[in-house]
Amino acid sequence: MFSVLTTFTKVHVVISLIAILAGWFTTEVGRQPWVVYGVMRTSEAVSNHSPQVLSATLAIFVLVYCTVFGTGISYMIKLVARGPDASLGQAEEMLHRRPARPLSAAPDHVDPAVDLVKE
Amino acid sequence: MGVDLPVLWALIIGFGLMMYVVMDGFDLGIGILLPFVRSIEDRDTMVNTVAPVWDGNETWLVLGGASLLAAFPMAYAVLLSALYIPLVLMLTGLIWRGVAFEFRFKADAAHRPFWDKAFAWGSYVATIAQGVSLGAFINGFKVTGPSYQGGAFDWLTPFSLFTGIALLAAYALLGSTWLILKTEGGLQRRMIALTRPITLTVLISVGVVSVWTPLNHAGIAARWFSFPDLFFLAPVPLLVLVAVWAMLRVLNRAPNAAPFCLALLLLFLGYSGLAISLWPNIIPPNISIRAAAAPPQSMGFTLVGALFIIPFILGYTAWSYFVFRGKVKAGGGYH
Repeated sequence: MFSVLTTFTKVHVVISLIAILAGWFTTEVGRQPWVVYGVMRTSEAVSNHSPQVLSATLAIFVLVYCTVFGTGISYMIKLVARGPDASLGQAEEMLHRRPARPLSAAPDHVDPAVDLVKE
Repeated sequence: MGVDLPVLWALIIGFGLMMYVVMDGFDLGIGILLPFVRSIEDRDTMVNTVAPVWDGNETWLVLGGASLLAAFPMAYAVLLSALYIPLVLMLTGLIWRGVAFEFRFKADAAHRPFWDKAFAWGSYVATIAQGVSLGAFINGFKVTGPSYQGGAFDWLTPFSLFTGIALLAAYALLGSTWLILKTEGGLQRRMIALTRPITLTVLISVGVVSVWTPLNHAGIAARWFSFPDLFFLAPVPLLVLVAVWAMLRVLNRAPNAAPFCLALLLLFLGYSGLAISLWPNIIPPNISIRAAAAPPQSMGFTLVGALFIIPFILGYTAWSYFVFRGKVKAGGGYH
C-alpha cells in the first residue's frame, strides 16, 4: 500500500506540473492576438524596446533564476540526504515556536526559548 | 463628492514609496555596510537585525507599483518602459540579496563568503539602480501621446549616475543608524564611527543635487527661488543642516535611537524637497497627475480596496517591529 502511494505521489509531482503549464499555454496562446480580450491587441500594448534589449534582460532572468533555484534545490537535496536528526523527541521540541520556512528542515540554530520552556 | 481622486491617489502612492524607501532603505543599507565589517559573528548579527522584517519591507514596493497601474496607468506604462533596464537590474539585485538572506545561514562554511558577497553586491546593484531611476525621473522623459518615445538608455546621464551613488550614502546612513539602535558593544561602536563620514557624504550629496537640479531645470529653479515661495520653502534646506548638526552631536553621547530618528528626518526632508520640485507632475517634465489619471470610476473602485488594505499592512508591520523590538545579541539566531 505504501509503495503504491509513493509511486502515485511521484507521478503526481510530474503530471501536476504538466497540468499547470498546459493550462497556462492554453490561456496565453488562445487569447492571441488580444492582450486584453476584445479590448486591446498585443501589438498595441507592446513597448518600444528593441528585441536585443528584451532578449538580453530575459537572458539575465533565466540565468539568475537557474542559479537561484539550482542552488536552492541542491541545498534541499543535501538536507534530505542528511536525514532527520537522531533524537526525534528533541526535533519535535525544536519545531515549537519556529517559523516553518522551506529551508528550515535541519535544526542548525537552537531556539533559546525552547530551553526556557524546559526550565 | 468633493474627493479629489488623483490627489488622493498621488498621496497614497507617495506615502507607499516613502515607506518603501525608509524601510527597505535600512535593510539595503545593511548590505551596503557588510563589506565594512570583517567578523563573521558581527555580520550574522547585522543580518539578524533585519531578518524578521526585510521581506515585509518590500511589500511597499509592490503596493506602489500596483497602485500606479490602478490609478495612473499612463505613468505606469511610461515610467516602467523608460526605466526598463535599471528596474530589471534592481530586481536582479533584490533577487540576489533576497536568496542570500536564506542561503548564507544554510551554506557550508566554505560557501558562506560567496553568499555574503552576493548579499552585498545585490544590495549595491539594487540601490544604485533605484538612485539612477530617481535621477532619470527628475530629468524627465520623452513622451508622445500616451507612450514613451525615448531610447532604452535615456536614463543613463551623469546626473542619474550621481543620484545612484548618492542613494548608496543615504541607505548606508539608514543602515548604520538602524544598527546603532539594534546592536551593542563593538559592532555599535563601529557603526557610530562609520555614521560620521556617511552623514557628511549625505550632506554633500544633498547639496550637489540641490544645486545641480535647478541648474538643469528652469521650472524647478522657478519653484524654489521665486518670492514669496522662497520663504515658505526655506525651512526644508535649513532643517537638513540642523539635522546633520544634531546627528554629529548625538553621535558623541552614547547614542541609541536618536541617530536613526535623525536619519529618518533627513530622508523625509529629501523626499519633501523632491515632491516640492516635481509636484504635480507624475511623468516629468510636464505630465501631471490629472493628465495621467485613470477614469474616476477605476480610481474610486480601487480606492475602496486600498483604503481597506493599507491599515492592515500598517498594523501587521507595526506588530512585527514590536515583536522583534530591542537589541539583537550575537548568536541569537532568528532562523
